[in-house]
Amino acid sequence: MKRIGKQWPLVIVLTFVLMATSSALAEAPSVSSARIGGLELKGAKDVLLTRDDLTIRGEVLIEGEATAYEGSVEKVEVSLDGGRTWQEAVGRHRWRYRFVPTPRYPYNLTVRVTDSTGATSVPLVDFGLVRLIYLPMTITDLVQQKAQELALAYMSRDLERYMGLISRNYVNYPRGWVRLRKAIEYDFKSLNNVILRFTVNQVFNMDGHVLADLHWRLTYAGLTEPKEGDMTIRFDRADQMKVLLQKGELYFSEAPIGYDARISIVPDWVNSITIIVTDRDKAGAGRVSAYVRIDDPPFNGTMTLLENPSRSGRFVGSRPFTFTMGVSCSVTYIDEITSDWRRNVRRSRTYTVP
Amino acid sequence: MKSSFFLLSFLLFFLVFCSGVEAVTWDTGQFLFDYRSDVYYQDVFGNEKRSFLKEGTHYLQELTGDLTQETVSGKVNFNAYFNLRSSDDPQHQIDERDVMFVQGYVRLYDDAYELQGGDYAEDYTSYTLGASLLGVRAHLKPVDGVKVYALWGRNRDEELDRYVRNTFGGRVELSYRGLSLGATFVHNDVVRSSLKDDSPVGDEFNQVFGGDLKLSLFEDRFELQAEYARSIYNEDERDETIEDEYDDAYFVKVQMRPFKGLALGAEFERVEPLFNTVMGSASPDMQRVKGEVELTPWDFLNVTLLHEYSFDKLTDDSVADYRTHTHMTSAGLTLTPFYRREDYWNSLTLNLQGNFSDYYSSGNVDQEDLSISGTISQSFTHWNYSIGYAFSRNWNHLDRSSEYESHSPSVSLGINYQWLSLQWNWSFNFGYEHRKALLYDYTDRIYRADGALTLDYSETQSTLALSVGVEHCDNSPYLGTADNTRWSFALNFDQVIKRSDKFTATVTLSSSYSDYDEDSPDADYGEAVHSLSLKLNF
Repeated sequence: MKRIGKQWPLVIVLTFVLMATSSALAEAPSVSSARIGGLELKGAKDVLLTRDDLTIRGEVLIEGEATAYEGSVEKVEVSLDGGRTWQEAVGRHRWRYRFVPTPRYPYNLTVRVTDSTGATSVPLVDFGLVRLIYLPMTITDLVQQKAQELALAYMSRDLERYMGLISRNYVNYPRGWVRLRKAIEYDFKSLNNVILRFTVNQVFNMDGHVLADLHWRLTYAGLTEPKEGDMTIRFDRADQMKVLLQKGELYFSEAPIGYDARISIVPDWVNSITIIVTDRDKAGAGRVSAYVRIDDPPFNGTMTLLENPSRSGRFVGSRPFTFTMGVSCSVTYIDEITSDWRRNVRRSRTYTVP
Repeated sequence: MKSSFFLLSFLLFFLVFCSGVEAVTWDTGQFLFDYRSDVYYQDVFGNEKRSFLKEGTHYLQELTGDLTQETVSGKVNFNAYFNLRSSDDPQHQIDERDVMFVQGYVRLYDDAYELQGGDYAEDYTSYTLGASLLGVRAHLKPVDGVKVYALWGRNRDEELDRYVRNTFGGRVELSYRGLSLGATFVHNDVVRSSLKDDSPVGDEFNQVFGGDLKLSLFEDRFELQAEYARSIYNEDERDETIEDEYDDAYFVKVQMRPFKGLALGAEFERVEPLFNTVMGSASPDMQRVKGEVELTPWDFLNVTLLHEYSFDKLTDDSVADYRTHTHMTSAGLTLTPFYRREDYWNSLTLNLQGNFSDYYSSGNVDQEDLSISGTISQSFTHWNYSIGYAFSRNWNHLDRSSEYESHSPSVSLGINYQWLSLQWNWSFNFGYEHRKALLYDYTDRIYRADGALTLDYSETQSTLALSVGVEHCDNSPYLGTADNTRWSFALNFDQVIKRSDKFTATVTLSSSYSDYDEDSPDADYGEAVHSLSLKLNF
C-alpha cells in the first residue's frame, strides 16, 4: 500500500501525458451536438417532446454541430428509425433538420457525419440512440402527468415503479437515491389507504431540465387532517422526465401523526380468549397480524386480527384457551409507527390465569 | 356562474374559430396564444372519502401569451409571457382560488446580456441558488471571458406561504480557455412584519458565499470541477437565544478519459451539519466519496463500475445520535453485439445491472440490499420488445422480520404500424412481483398488465388513444393490507378541426374510469371523469 502511495505523482504524470498525446491523434468525424431548443440530445436517452418544443408549423427542429478532424464536414445525416433509413440534414459544420412528429410514435434518433476523406462516424457509438416521443400536450400537462404517475406509484405502494420515476443521478434529500429508497420503503410499510394528489403551480422550462413548483396533499389511515406541502422538483428532460432533484419531501410520512398501539387480552372464562390490538395508524387496513403463544391448547404462530368496526383501528381475533391456573397467553405486535416517530416497535402483553 | 362560464367559453371559441384569427407574426416578431377550455364531469362512487376528486361538473380555462420582438436591427430582443388559469376544481386551483395569474415575465435580451422581470427561475450553483422567484434578474457579458449575474426576488405568494422572503444575490464568472472561475453570493431574509401566527417559518436569515472552479484540459479529456460554500443561518432572529450558525460545504469532481474506451471519475463531497442553504440544494451532515469507471473495450460493450461510501454525524453539531455508514456498489453492462449493422439487429441490446448496498450504525441499523436485474430489448420496423427480470434480497441483522427477497419478471411489447394514412401504435406491458418475507414465510404477489392503442389518421388529423390497465395484489397478512384489485380504462379522442401555419384548433373528448376493489369492508371506491376540451393555438 505504501509503495503505491509513493508512486501517486508518477501515475498522475503518466495519465496526463497519455491524455495529451492521445488527444493529438486523428479521429473519425463526430457530431458535437444536436439540440431541440436548449435541450441537448447527444448523450440523452429518452426524450419526451411537448407542444412547447415544436415550431409554429408543428415541426421538430433539430439544430447541431459536426466536427471533422481530417478535411471538412461533407454531410450530416439523420435517422429516425435507429439507423435503417437516413435523410440528409441541411448544412455541414452547422446543420439543421426538421420533421413533423406523429403523436406518441417512438422515434429512434441517431446522427452520422461524413468528412471529405470519406470517413463516416459510427452513429450508435459517436452519437448514441435517443428515443423521442412527441406528446400532444404542454410542458405543464406533462409535469402534471409525471406527478400523477408518482402519486399512483406511491398510492399503490409500488417501490420499484416509484423509484423508476426517480433518476439514479438524484442527489438530494434524504442524501441520495439509496437513502430515499429506504425512506420510501418505510413509508410503504407504515402507511395504509394512502391518497396523494399533486397540483402543478409553476413550470420553468430551462436548458436540459424542467423546474416545477408543486403542491401536494396526502391522507392515510389514522390521519385526522390531510397533510399538505409545497415542493420544487427538477425533472431531467434527457431521461424521460425523471426526478433529478427536489426541495421538500418526496417521502411524505417523515412527520406522521403516529399513535401508540395497545394490546388487550380478554378472557371469556369458558373456553376462549379474545385478542384486541388497537392501532389507529392502521385504521382502514382491514386486518393486521400478531404473534401469539398459548400454552394450552398449544399454539405458537401468527394470528390474523380483523378490523371491527371498520376503519376504527381496532383489530379483533379469538383463540381456544384452557382456563387452568398458570396457563398463559402472550401476544406480540409490531407497531410500525409510534407517536414519538419510532418505527417497528415491538409491543407485547402476557395474560396468565391466576 | 358555471353556465355563464360555459356559454362564454364556447362563444369565445367559436368567435375566434369563425373570425379567422391567426397568430400575429411579422418580420421581426410574433405574438402567439394558447387557449384551452375544459368542461368535465367527475363521478365518485363507493367510499367517497377515499377519493380526492370533487364530484360534479367543473371547468378549467387556461390562456398563455408569448410575445417576441426583435428591435433595433437585431441588437435587442423583447419577450413577454403570461399564463392565466381559471378553475372551480381544487385539483387545478392554488389555494382554492378560482382565477390565478400563474406566471408572467418580460425579458430584454441579446447575446451579451439579459434582463428579466416577473416570474423567473435561476441556476447559479448547487449550493447557492437554483430556484424560482418573483422579481428581477440580469446577466451581462461586458468583455469576452467575463459574465456578471445579479438578481433580486421574493417568494411569489405571501398569502399562501404566510410570510415574505426577500432574496438578492450575484455571481461573477471569469473564463479563459478551459478554465472557469466563479464567485457567488446569495442573501435571504424573511420580513419579520410579514409573519403570521401560523407561518411555517420563523424570522429566518440565510447567507451563502460560494466559490467554484471548472478546468478542462486536453480536449475535455481531463475535467475538474470544485465548489466551496459557506453559509450563515439563523432559524428565527426574533428569538435572541438562537445564535447564527456558520458552516461549510465542499465538492470536488474529477473526470478523466486517458484513452478511448476508458473514463475514470471520482467525487468527494462534505456538507457540514450546520450548513444551510435556503435557495440552493444540499444534504447537511453528510460526507461521501465516489469512484466510477466506464470501460468500453470494444464498441459493442460498455461496462460501468461504481462505488460510493457515505456517512453522517460528522461532528458533535449533528442531530443524529449515531453515525450511519452507507456503501453502495453498482456494476452495469450494456452489450449491443450487432451495432454496426444497419438493420433491425443493430438495436439488440442486453443490459445487466447489479447493486449492493450496506448500511450500518452501532446498534441502530445493520442492513444489506442486493438487487440484480437484466433486460434484453430490440426494435424492429414495426414492433419492439423488452424482456426483463429483477431479483432483490434484503438482509436485516437487527430485525429479521423485515428481511425479504423478491423476483419480478416483466415483458413489454410495442407494435407500430402504418397503413395508408393510418398509424397504429400498440403497447402491452406485463409484470409480476413475488415478494417473500423470509422469517414468516409470507408472500405478497402483485400481477400487473396494461395495454394501450393509439390510432392516428393523418387524412383527417384524428387521434384516438385507448388504454386499459389492471393490477392485482395478493397480499399476505405481513403488511396488513387486504388483497386488492385496481382497474383503469381511458379513452381519448383528439380531432384537429382546423390547422394552418398560424392557427390550430383541436377538440378533445376523453373519458376515464378507475375502480379499486379491496377485500375489506368500506374500502372499495371508483372514479369516472368525462371531459370535453377545446384548444386553440394562434
